[in-house]
Amino acid sequence: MSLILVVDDEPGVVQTIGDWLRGEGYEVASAATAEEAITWFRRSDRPPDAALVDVKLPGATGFELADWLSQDFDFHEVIFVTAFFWEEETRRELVARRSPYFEKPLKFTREVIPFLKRYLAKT
Amino acid sequence: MSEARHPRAWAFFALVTLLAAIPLAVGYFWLRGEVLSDAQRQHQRQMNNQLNLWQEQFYDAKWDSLADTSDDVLHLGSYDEAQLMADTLVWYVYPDGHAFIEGTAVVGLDGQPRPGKAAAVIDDAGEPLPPEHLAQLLRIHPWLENPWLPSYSFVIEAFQKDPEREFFISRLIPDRDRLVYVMASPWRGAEGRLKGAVIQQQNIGQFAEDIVLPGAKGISLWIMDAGGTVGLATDDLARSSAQAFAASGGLARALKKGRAAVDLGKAGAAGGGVQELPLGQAQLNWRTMEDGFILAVVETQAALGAVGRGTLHKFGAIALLSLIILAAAGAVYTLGALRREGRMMEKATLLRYAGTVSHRVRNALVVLSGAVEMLQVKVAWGKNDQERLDNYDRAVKDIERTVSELEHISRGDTELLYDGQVGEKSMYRLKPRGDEGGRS
Repeated sequence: MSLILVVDDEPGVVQTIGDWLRGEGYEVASAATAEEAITWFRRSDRPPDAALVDVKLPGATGFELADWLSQDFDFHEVIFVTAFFWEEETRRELVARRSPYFEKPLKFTREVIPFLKRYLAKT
Repeated sequence: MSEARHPRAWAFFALVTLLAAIPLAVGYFWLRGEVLSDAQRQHQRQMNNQLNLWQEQFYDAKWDSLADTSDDVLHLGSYDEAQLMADTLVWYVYPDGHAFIEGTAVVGLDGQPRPGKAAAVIDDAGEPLPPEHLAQLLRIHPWLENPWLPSYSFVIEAFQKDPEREFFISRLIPDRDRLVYVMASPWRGAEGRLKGAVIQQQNIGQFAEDIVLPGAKGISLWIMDAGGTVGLATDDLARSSAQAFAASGGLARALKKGRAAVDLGKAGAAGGGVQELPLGQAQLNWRTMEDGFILAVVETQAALGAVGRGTLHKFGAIALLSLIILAAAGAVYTLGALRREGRMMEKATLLRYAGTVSHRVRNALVVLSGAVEMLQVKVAWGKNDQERLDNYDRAVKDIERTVSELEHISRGDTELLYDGQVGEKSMYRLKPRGDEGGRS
């Protein structure tokens, strides 16, 4: 069973994404900040198969978290989630990183679930 | 927000105004020094010229008088005393009694003048004055017909004491409401025996009025003899200056310089200095008339450089006006800049708040649309239904609160507060109003 880490500071968002992923048969872990996510990585027996990371987090951003995971844990399967795609700076960064991303509000049936299935099958 | 910038903006405005004031103030004080010193130098030159002129006039008057008396002595040498009295009995006061030379007379060894009384007081045309006019003049100048002192034995004694002496000038002598001084030449017989003296008596007040005061309008001036008697003081300043001069020992020093100048063949000595007087600090300039009299001009420091001061005040007024206009322009500009900055800050804050709103609404929509989609595909919910319902409720309330906040902002009756950073971006919330407010 694939394990997916959800990193977002909004409990309702974490709950909704978790419901959807668990309904599709995925195992779900969550963290509210980048620092919590790093702690989870250190304590976990196995790395997740993918991480859904909100770009705007209190403290370190989702981009910084992705960089730390890449450097410290050799983990590259980060899928960004953002409510700030309309913002030029965020959009430019997302495009430059060539990482997958979803814009809030999420379209679970049309975008998120089909993409995750393809993505996890590939990885 | 912009309130914190106001003190800095006004401080900058004050600094700029102060910096602009510095060159104006420096310029004012520099020009003040220039104008005052230049005006004082010019004034001092004029005053020196005037004093030198008076010194020359005094000198000339004295020697003219002495020449007159010497001439008289030569003429009188061939007369015996009885004939002299007969021939010189008639003399005149000319013109009209207003001359500083009160009379010329022969003084016998008894010290009495001959003749003792004027024959007539005449007018400018040489005619005797009408009796009523003469009576009027005599009320003002009771000495007019008989100006002589009770005795001139001091003249005779001076020539008897020094047989070589060729002339004599007395100090100032008070007599009937006036001060006079006497110039004399000795009258000696062929064998050198002293027979008497020829005197010319002058009125120092009239001398000052005729010779000095016409060129001394508005000037504080005094004349003092070698004994410290003040012959003329034009005002209170002059009087206090003369007293201070005599009391300070300045008189003795000036007379010493005068004697030294006479030895060098000069008309007299010159000097000056600063005096501390009841009317303030004053500048004194004096000239000695050989070693007999001192004529001095005194001026307060306030009066010095008065010519340049008017121009200076005008410059000061213009500089002050320029500074006020500059400050007013700076204040208007600063106010405008603060308003512009305030508007820019408000706009930037509002833009950021709009981002915060968008973030919050999108998160709420994740929850709601996620639920809606889940209902559409009829996915089983599992057991934590109450927790999920709480999430939906919170998401709906978030949207409602956001809409309410937007309405408050639109009405302009609320204030945005900084609510921390998310990455490099600032987040804002509304200032709480009762149970209203928000979080990012």
